[in-house]
Amino acid sequence: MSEAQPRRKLMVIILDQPALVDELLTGFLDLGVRGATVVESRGMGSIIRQDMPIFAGLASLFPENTGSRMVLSVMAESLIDRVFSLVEEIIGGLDKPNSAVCFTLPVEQFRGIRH
Amino acid sequence: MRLDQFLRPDLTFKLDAVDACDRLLEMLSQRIANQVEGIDAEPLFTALQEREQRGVTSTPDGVAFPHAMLEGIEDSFIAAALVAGGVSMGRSEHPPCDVVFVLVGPANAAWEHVRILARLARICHTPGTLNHLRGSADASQLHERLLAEDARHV
Amino acid sequence: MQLLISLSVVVALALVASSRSFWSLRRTAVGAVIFSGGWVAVGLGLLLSLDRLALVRSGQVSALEPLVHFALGWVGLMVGLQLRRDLPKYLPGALLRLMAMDLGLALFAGVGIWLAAGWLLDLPMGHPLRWFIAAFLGVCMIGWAAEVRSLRRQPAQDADSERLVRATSGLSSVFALLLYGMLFFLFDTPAGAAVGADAARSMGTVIAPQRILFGLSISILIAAAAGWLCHWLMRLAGRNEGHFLVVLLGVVALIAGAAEAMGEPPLLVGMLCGAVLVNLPGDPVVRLKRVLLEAEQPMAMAIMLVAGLMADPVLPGMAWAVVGGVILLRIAIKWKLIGDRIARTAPAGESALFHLAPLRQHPLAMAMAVGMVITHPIDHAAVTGRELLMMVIAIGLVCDLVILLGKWRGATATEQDSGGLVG
Repeated sequence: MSEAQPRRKLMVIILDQPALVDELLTGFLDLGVRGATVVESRGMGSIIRQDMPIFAGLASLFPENTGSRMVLSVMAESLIDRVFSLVEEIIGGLDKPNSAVCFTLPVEQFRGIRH
Repeated sequence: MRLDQFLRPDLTFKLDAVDACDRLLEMLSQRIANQVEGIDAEPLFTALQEREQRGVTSTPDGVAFPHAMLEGIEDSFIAAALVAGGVSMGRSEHPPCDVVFVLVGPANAAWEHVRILARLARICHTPGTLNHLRGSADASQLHERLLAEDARHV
Repeated sequence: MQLLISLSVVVALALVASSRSFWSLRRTAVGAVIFSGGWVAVGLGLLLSLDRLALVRSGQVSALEPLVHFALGWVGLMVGLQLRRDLPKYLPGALLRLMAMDLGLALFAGVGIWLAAGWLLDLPMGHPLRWFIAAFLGVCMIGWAAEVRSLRRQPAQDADSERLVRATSGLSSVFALLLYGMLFFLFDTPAGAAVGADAARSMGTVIAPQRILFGLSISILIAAAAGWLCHWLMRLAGRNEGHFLVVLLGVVALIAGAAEAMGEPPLLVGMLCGAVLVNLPGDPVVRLKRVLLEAEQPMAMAIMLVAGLMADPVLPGMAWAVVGGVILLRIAIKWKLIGDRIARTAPAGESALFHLAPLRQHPLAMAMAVGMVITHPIDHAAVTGRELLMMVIAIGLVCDLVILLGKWRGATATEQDSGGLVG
């Protein structure tokens, strides 16, 4: 008999400003999100530009020019709305271009570390 | 997590100039012990001092977050202080700290402790917040402004 | 009215350049060559300035001069922001040898052009203009286009050869800009040349070696001051996007304006400022780089359009002879010697096109030529600044056509090969 688990969702946040990751994670702690994984990611535009630079041929050699960070976190469904609000607060509005993208996905099963 | 449950008007202070970090921690420990039942100044001071020795809690914005987890207390609380002229917490690259938050919590509530610290860090990192707090005329206004800043955040 | 037309075209091109459909066009091999070379904008510029249409006259482009300075400052900043302290650790091993060969070739080409210019353009041996043309076209020889998409047969690989092409192109552009700056100082334009004082018009340029040190020092001072100011203002702007944009535009305007006021090349000042900025600590620099890079295409389009507007499409026969000579040199040395070394690092089946990579002219040459026309308005019987610009355009265009031809021949060969296998 397995104990009933709370409903969880996978929150995916793609931040175009890597500098804000630290603030986002601090916010996660504040809201009670206990864990997240941060991955260096690349937007489509950055990949396209890498192939076809005009004046800045060296730019694609530097790792930070990948530009974005993807934050993945499985969290209780009850936290989702507050996390969306947190992202909005940190970014200053999700409707601006080049700010962030965030969405949730249902988690059917979850096994692994439980805090 | 809202901070209103941890902030208390009687634990909000506006202090005159203090010459050293240890002196500040001692003074704050004494004031906390005077206000909070079950807290002794000496062990609190020792715990705060030990924490600072392990790693200074100041930030480049001139804020310090000395904190301690103590046996024998049931609830977390925050003491907030404005220190005239600021005091160096021991990191030469940081400016003297004139906004100080002392967080005290039960030894068995580590997660809550981390969350409160994260909340304080977020609030203090928001542009304009520190200047707003620093402009408080007295301790009660500092308390009010802290609650107002807390309410601005998710 | 003409100014309105040119401004509208610049804005329209910039909008088109940043649109999504434009990007998908650019991803085809032919599109990659055409758009990274800026040929659509150059062609449009040439068309608009044609005497028959007379929509925009090159003299009227001078009304756009502040905008051109701004765009050149932006490009310079973009190049300079690559000059990180830790850059050497990211550079491929074979790069320095390739660059040394390339610089040697530029020097060789410069000497060749100097010799030929005496005969073809009828300029006496000691004439400053003869030195200027040789040095300028020599500098334009440095490096090659960084675009690699058109060189691939297979989908994205990020192979050694691609990194080598991009990195050498990037570092070469830095050297080219430094030398361009020195040329700018070395060949002073006498006062009144722009308004056409007779003596100045016949002379074209004056060699002023003492200006190099002075000019470089002023450029460094402006760049350092603008760099520190930008860094400080960006920190003040914090996360506010609006403030950040205002700071960015303000700093580029400051670089361009100060360079213009002090008689310095905005491309060089921009590059030096970028080099200062990128080595200062803080996250805003990363953000700045991203914003600048995202606007690379629209800025390039604007500069290429101005190049087309300012160029004199009717080159005298002797100028075409110089163009032909430079192209032959590029083919003989860049293709054969340098291309061979790059091709060795290419994946199997990709070497033929990577062989051609160094043949292409760096788009920066066009930006330098535009800057040259504005700041050194040469108006000599042998050659004018506008003709020099057209020569740079012609060299770049022919080299890109060679790439397209190589691509087409490669595709045909591949089809025939597979036909043989299947059939």
